[in-house]
Amino acid sequence: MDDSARRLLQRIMRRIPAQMLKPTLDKWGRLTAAQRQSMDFTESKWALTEKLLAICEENEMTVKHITELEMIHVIENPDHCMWYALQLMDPEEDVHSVELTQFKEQFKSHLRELIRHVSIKIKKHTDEAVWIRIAWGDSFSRPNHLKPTYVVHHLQTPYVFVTSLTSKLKPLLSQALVLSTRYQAIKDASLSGRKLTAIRDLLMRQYQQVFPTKYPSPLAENDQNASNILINKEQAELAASRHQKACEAFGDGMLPQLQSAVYKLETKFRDHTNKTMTEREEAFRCVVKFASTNLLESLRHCASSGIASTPGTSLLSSIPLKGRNYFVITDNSPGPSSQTRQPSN
Amino acid sequence: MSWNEEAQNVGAPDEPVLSTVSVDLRWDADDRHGRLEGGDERQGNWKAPHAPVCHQELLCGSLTPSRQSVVESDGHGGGQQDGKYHIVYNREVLLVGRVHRDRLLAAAGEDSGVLSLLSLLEVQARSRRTQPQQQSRVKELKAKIEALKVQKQQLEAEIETHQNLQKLRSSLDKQCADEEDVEMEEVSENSQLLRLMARHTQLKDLLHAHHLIGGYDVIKTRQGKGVCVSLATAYEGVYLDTYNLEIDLKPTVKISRHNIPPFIPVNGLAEENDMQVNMRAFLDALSQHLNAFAGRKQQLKLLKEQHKSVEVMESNVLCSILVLMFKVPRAKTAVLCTLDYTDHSRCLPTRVHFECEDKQLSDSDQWKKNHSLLMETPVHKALTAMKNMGDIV
Repeated sequence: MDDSARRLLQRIMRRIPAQMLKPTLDKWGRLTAAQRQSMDFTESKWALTEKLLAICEENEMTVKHITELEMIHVIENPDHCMWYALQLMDPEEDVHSVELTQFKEQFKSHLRELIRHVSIKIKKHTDEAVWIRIAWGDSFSRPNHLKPTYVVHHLQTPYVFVTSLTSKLKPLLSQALVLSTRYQAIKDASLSGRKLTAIRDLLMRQYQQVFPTKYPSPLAENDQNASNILINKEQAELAASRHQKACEAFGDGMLPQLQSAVYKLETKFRDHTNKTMTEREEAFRCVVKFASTNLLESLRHCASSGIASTPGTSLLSSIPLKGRNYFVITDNSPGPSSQTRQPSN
Repeated sequence: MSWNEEAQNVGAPDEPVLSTVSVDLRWDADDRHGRLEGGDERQGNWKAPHAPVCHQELLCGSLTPSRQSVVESDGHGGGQQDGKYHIVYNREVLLVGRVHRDRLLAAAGEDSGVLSLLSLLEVQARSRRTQPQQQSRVKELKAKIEALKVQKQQLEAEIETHQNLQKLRSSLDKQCADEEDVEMEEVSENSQLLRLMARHTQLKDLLHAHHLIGGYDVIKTRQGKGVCVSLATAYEGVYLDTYNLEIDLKPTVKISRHNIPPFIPVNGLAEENDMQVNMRAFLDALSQHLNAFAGRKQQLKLLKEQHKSVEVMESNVLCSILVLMFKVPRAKTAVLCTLDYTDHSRCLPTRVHFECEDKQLSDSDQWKKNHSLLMETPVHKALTAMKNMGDIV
């Protein structure tokens, strides 16, 4: 086992939390029963790492096998790195007939054409997601397994999620993806976050959306230990309608756990009390960032509890509507008299 | 010469010719005797409009007292006995009067001999066969009368209920229009049941009307500037997911949001069917795609539940491709079956392909039948049939 494999294994062991170690190794399945028995999971991580290194030496494992372990861990816990969403555009005629083996072959051959030294591993997860691990090298050096890129794609959908991709390598990956999925172009979907499940659910609309209906379902009763029944009676209808509107804007039930939204403003400064700033011609650039453990939930709560007026501003409800969390806002119409602000695409 | 012709030819040219007469079956003819014993006097139960003329009268003038002895058939051939009275209950009634055999034979013509005797015997046999039929036929008809009477009573009761229902229904419809309070005329179980039934028919009619106009729930939003359309999907009588579309009508007709999964080409269908002009065509096409998708998804789910021995090697989110692994019971080989659903508006595959190491297996007649089975029936049902035929485990 060479040096790079050793370092890779050490890195992986550092990343995997102690309690996940045993199940991950079992899933990997490359250790014999005796070897598994010999690993004592009560020891310290460092000791376990040494033990595992010894076992891997014994089994003569190569980098290829170690990367399997890493991939298993990342698929189970995809939330430790930043994911960026990309959207494929302009489908070709036969986009719906792309099936797994065809996609795998095409992707590998296209990427290998573009860059000689690259290590690609493709695996299909049970939820129909195709996971790709890419270790990049260049014309002179071997693939660097310490900085792999992970790509997740659901066939027949136009969305691709990637981690840690440098700007130099992005065009190569984009081209390989476009050619193998039978689309014509790919663009940035302006959605990023740490939780892959959150951004995927947001884009693929896997949360419970609420639409205007003639007979909205009756809302669950709030706890009855509120003091004044008469106040409740007065406010119940209003509260119900607020809740309905909030759910229509953001969704019902468990919402995808988006953690931030960024608005980049390139609009002119508008404040009557501050003449000096308003008189400036050029745009007032600023960035507004909303952060929360569960941003959509908090926005919905703002609307349903009455803190924010409903219907809410379209800037905030665009997050789930358009499935993005990075917006650039500019003044579309010229002149200071215009009050409209439109999110630009 | 057939017997019919003989009957017609019997008798002197100036005697009235007996012909076969069609008889009304409403006779209460359980007593053969009655027909004959009347002779001239018609029996009361002989209601036939055209009473067949007794041949005997024609030929022998009057009934002799000795006719009693001959009314019963003795089941034997003509032989030395005198002619018998037989009544044949068919559409045509052949009355064979009491005729002297000699007379018959004489009338039969020159070749009086075997042939004519044989025909006589034939007629006797025929009439004998029909006698027990007469009894059972009579019983049959009586039973039928009873059954028809019962049915008539049932129908009358149904008509009455239906009339009450109509009355209630019209009052219900009026109530709904006027929004008056419900007034119970009689508080009895019967009337409550009738009210429920009336309401049920009202709802059924409403559902039918809804179905006729396309079956989409549409409500107005944004103070009339938009609509929200609900598309329901169902497969094999089970309702599945409902999808919604919010469409802006002013200033332009466009879709503002929806919860349709991204692999259904909503925008593509909108363009194809020119949503601006022909909303209904677009909704119909979209509903067809969604229902087909729901159907395929449901088939896959049922397949996984019902056929755990069949391994699903590949599927995708759109459920447009399915690769299954079958185990053939006697052989050691496995069969890989690929189902392509390239037409996304249908629940059935467009192509079925088998792959097997044993080439003969996939070319055999049995598997050709399985091929057409998989092309024409939903996959979970096809697999059940294949299991029953013993083709797969």
